[in-house]
Amino acid sequence: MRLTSIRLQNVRRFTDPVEINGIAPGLNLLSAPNEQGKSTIFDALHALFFKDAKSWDKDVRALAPHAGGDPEIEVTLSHRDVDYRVAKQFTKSAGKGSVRVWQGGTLLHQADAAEAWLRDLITSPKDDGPAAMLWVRQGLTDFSDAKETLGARRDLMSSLSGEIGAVTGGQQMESLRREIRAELDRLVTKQGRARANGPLAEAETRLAELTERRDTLAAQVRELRDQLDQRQALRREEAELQDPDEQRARQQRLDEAEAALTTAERHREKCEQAIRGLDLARVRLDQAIGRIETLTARLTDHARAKDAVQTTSTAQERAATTAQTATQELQLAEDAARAAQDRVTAAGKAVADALQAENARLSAGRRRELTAQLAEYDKLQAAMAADRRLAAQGPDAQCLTRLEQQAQAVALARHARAASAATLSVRYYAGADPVLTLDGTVLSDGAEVALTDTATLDVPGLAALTVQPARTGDSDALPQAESALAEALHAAGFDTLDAARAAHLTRSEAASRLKEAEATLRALAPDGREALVAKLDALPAAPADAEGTEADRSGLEAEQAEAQQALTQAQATVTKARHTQASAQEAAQLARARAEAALTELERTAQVLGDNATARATLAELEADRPKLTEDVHSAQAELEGLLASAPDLDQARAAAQRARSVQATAQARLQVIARDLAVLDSRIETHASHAVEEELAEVQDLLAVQEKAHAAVTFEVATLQRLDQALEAAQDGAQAQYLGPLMGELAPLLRRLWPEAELQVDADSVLPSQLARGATEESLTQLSGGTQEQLALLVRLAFARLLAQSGQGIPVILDDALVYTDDARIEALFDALTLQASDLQILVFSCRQKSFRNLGGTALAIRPVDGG
Amino acid sequence: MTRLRFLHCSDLHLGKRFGQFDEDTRAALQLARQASLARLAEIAVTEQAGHVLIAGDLFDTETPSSRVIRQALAAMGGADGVAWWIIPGNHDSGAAEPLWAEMARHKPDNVHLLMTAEPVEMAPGAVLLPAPCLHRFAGHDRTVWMDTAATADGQLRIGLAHGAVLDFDRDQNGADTITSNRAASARLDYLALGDWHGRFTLDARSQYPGTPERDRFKHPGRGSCLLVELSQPGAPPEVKEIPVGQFDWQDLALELSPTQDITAELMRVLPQDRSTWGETLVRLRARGWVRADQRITLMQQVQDHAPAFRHLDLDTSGLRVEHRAEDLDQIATTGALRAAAEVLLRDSQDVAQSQDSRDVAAAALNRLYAFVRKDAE
Repeated sequence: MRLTSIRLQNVRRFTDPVEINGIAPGLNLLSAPNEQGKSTIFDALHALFFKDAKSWDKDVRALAPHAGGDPEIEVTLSHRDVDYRVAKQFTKSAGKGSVRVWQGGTLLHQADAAEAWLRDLITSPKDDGPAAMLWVRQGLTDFSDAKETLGARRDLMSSLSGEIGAVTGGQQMESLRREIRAELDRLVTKQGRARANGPLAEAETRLAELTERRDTLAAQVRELRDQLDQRQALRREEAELQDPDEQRARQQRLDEAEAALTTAERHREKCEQAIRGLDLARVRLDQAIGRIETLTARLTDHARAKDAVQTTSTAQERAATTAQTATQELQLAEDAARAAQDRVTAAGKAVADALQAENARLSAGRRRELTAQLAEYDKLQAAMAADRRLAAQGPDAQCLTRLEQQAQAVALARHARAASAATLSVRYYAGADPVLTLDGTVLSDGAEVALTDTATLDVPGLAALTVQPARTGDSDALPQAESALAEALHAAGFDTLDAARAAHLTRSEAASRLKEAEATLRALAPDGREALVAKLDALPAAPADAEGTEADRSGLEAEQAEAQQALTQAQATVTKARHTQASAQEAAQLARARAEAALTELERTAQVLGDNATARATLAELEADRPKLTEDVHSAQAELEGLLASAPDLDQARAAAQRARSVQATAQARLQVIARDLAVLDSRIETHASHAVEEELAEVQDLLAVQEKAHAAVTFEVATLQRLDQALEAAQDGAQAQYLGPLMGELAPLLRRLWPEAELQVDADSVLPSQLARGATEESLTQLSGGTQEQLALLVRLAFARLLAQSGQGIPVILDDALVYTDDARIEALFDALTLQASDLQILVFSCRQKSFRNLGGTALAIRPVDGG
Repeated sequence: MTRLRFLHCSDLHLGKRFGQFDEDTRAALQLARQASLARLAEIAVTEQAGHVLIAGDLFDTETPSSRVIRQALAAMGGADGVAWWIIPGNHDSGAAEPLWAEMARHKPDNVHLLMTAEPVEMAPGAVLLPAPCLHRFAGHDRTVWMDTAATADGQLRIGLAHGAVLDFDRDQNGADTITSNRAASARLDYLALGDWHGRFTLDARSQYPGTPERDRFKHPGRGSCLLVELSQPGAPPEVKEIPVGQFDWQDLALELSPTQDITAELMRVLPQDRSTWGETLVRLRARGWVRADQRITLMQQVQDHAPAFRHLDLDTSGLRVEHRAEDLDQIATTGALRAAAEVLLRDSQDVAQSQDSRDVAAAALNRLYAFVRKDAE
C-alpha cells in the first residue's frame, strides 16, 4: 500500500481543508519550519488507520480544533495497483463517527466493513503485522513514549524494545503486565502463596478465624441443646417422681410388702419351734437306743475275755517246753564246734613248719648262683684288660689301608715294568733236561719269564748270559714305589706288609673280644658288680640244718583243708541251733505276755460291767421303752411337715419389702439429685444464653458464607490475573520469537552502512537489543550518544519496514522529525540508507531541518489549502 | 357480644444477627427487628385493637440473650390497653424452659404466655385455642385438639398455631403439618398462623401475616401484620394487612442482552422512588449475555448506585460476557495483545476445558478489556 494524497479538515489548526498531493512511491520529503502542521498530518494519518471512527478517546479528542468541529481525514492510496479513497470523520457524539472507502467513484465499504478493510490493509497477512511503529512522531525521535518521558523508556534500549514491542504489545503490553504483576504481587508471592498481609492472606485468615469460631460456637450450641434436652428430661422425671398418685402408689406398695414380710416371719418362727420339738424326740429315742447297745456290748466283752484267759494260759505252757529243748541242742552244737577249731589249729602249725624249711633251701641255691656270677664277672674283667691292651696295639684300619695302597702302587709299577720287559721263553729239546737257570732258578720247559731287571741266565755248560732289559720312560716308578712302601712300613713299625697285616688282625680280634666280653658283663650284672654283691648280702644266712629233709607239705595242707571244712560245718550247726533257741525263747515270752493281757482284759470288763445281774435288768427296761419313743418322733415330724407346706416365701417377702423401701428411698434421693442437676444445668444454660451463642452462631454462619464468597472471589481474582499474565507472556514470547530473528537479518546490512562491522546484540533473557558492538567495542545502548541512538532507531524502523514489505504488506514509513541530533556528516550515510530502502518502500520524511535535508533527494511535498475549500 | 379486633403477627425472630451484611446494615436490621414490637403496639393502639396475637417464633433462638428478652417484654408492657398472646414456635419452642421461665418471671401483666394446649378466654365471649410448640419437632399436627375443644355456645373460637399448612419448602417431613381445613373442622372463626415469613392466605379464616420485619430476599417487600376483626361467631373475619417493616427487601432480576442499553435497563429495574433506596436492600441477579463493554458499564453503574441503598448486591453468576471481534479490536487490532485476547476468547469458549478454566479465561479477557479501556480513557 502506498499513499498518493492526504486531505484534512477540522484537524487542529487545519479547520479549513488542506491537502498534500503528489506523494511518490519512493522517498518523499515534507520540509517545513516548525508549527506548520507536520505532526498534525502525522497524527491524523495515525488516527485514520488505527482509530475506530466511533472512538472519541484522548488521541482522537486531541485532533479536534479548539473552535470545535468534527475532524475529517481523507487519503487516496494505491493498493495492489488499484486506487482507493478513504475518508474518516470522528465526532464527539458517541458511536456516530463515519468511515467510507471508495474505489473509483463507487462506495466500496463503510462503517464496520470499512474499518475491517483498513485493518486488513495494515495487517500483515502472516498475522499481527505491525504498522504503527513505522511512523515516528515528532519529539519521539529518541523513541521514548511521551507518557513516560521521565520513565525508563527514554533510552534507546527501551526505544528498540518499543520497536519490537509494537509486535509484542508495545508499551501498552508492558504497562499492562506491570499492572497485572503489581496486582498479583499484592495478592500472592512469586511461589503462588498468599502474600503476608495481602488481601488473599487476609481473606484466608478471616476465613480460618470464622471457621474456627463457627466450630466453637456450633460445639457450644450442641452443648447448649444437650443441656436443654437434659434439663427437659430431668424436669419430666422430677414431675413424675413428685406426682401425688405416684407417691401414694409407692407408699402403698411399701406397706403391703412390709405386712407380707411380718406374716412370713411369724410362720417361720412356728416352723422353727416344730423343728426343735422333732429334734428333742429324736434325741430321746437315740439315747435309749444308745444305752441298749452299750449294755449289750459290755456283756459280750466280758464273756469273750474269760475265754481268752483260758486259751492263752495253755499256749504259754507249750512254748516254755519248746524253748528248753532248743537250749540243750545249742549247747551240743557249740561243743562240736570247739573240737573242730582245735583240729584246724594243729593242721595249720604243721603246714607252717614245712613251708619254713622249703624257703631255707631256696635261699642257699640262690647264694651259690650269685657267687658263681661274681667269679665269672671278675674273670671276664681280667680278660678284657688284656684285650684292651692288644686292641690299642698294631695298625688301625686306616694305617693298614694306606700301606695296602702303597703296596698296590708297587705291584702296579712292577706289573707295568713286566709288561714292557723282554720275555724269555725256554723250549728244551726233546730229551734234554731242564738245566737252564735264571738268577739261580731253574727254568722249566715252556717257562716264560719277563726280563724286567738285569738277570743272569746260566746255561750250564755253556755260558752265563747277562740279560740287561731295555730302559723305558718310567723305569724309576717301581723303585720309588717300593721306597715309599718301605718308608711307610718303617714308620708304622713293621718290616713287611705281612707283619703289618698280622698286627692289624691281632688288634681287630682283641677289639672284637672286648665287645663280646662287655656284652656278657652286661648280661651278668646289668646293674654292675656292686649290685650283685648287694643281692648276695641280702640273702638270709643259711640255717644250720638248712639242708634238712623235705617234709610232705601237700599232705599237711590236705589235712588242714579237711579240718577247716569240719569247723565250718560245726559253726553252721551252732548258728542254726542259736536261731532255733532264740525263736523258742521269743515265742515263750509272747505266750506269757498274751496270757497276762487276757487276765488284764478280764479284770477290765468285769469292772466296766459292774454287777452283771443289774446290767441285764436295766437292758430289759430300756427295750420296753423304745416303741413309745419312736412314736413321739413320728408325730413331731408330721406336725413340722404340715407347717412347712403352708409356709409363705419369706425370701420373696423380704425382697419385695426391700425393693419397696428402695424404690421409696431412690425416689427421694433421685429428687435431690435432680434438683441439684437442674441447678447446675440452669446455671450453665444461663451462661450460654447470656452470651447468646445460638444467635452468634447464626451470625457467624452468615459471616462465614459471605467470607467464603469473598475468599473465592480473591482466589478467582488471582487465577484470573495469573491466567491473563500467562496469556500475555505467551503471546509476547511468540511475537518476539517470530519477529526478532528476521528483523536482525534485515538490520545487519543497514547497520554496516553506517558503522562497518557493527552488530546489534540481543539479551538472551529479555529477547531485547542490549548492546551495539562496533569492532572490538561493545557499548550498552544506554551509553550511546543521542545521535547514534536516533540513527540506530531509524535503521531498526527501516528494517521493520523492509520486513513488512517482504511479507507483501508494505506500508509507508513516515518519519516526523526523526533525525535531530545527527550531524551533517552522518546524515549523508542515513540519506543513502533511506534512498536505498525507498527503492521498494514508500517513505515520507517530515523535517524542520530544511537546510540539512535539502540533500536527501526524493519528491518534495507541500501542505496546500484545498482550492475552493 | 362486642366485636373483637386484634392484630395477628408472627415470626419476629428477635435477636437475629444478619451476619451476611456489613456491620452498619447488621446493626440497622437488628434495631429494626427489636423496634417492630413497639410499632405493633403503636398500630394496635391506633387501630383500637385490644389484643396482639403472636403466632410463634417471637425469638430467633431458644436461648436469646436476656437483653433481647427484657427489651421485648418492656416494649409489650409499654402498650397500655393491649394484651399480648404469645405461643412458642419451633425456633423458641417450649423445650427452651429457661427462656420461658425468664419470660414468665419478668413479664408484665398484659403479656400472656400460652404454654399448654387448652382454651383460654382472651376476652368476654372469645376463646383462644393455642397450639404451642413445646418441642422443636412435634411429630404430629398440634392443632388436632382444637377439633374437640369445647367452648360455650356463642363464643368466638380463635386458633393460634405455628407451623406449615402446606409443606412449603422446609426440610422436615410433613408430620408437623397443620391440616389445611383445620379452621373448618375445629369450627374456628379465625386461625392465626405463624411460621411462613411471607404473607400467605390459606383461606378466609386461615392466614399467615409474614414476619413484620422481613429478613430475607425470598420474601420481598416490607413486613406487615394483619388487623383482624370478628363480628360474631361464624361470620367471616375482616382482615386488613398493615405495613410494619422499616426495610424493603427486593430480589430483582436483571435480564440483559448485548443489544440493550445497560444503564436504562438497570434504572428500569431498580425502585423508581429513590427516596426509599436508603431503606431498601436489593439483590440484583443479572442474567443473560452482555458485551464486554456492557459488563463494565453494569459494574460501574452498580458500583455507582450501591452506596445509595441500604444494601445492593450484584449477582453475576448467571451473566456471561460475549466477546466480539470489535471488542478484541478495542484491545488491539494486531500484535501480541490481540493474540493474547484471541487465545483467552478461544479458551473461554472451549467446551473441552472445564467450566472453571473457561470462567477464568473469560474473566481474564474481561480484565484485559477493562485494562485497555481504562488505558484508552
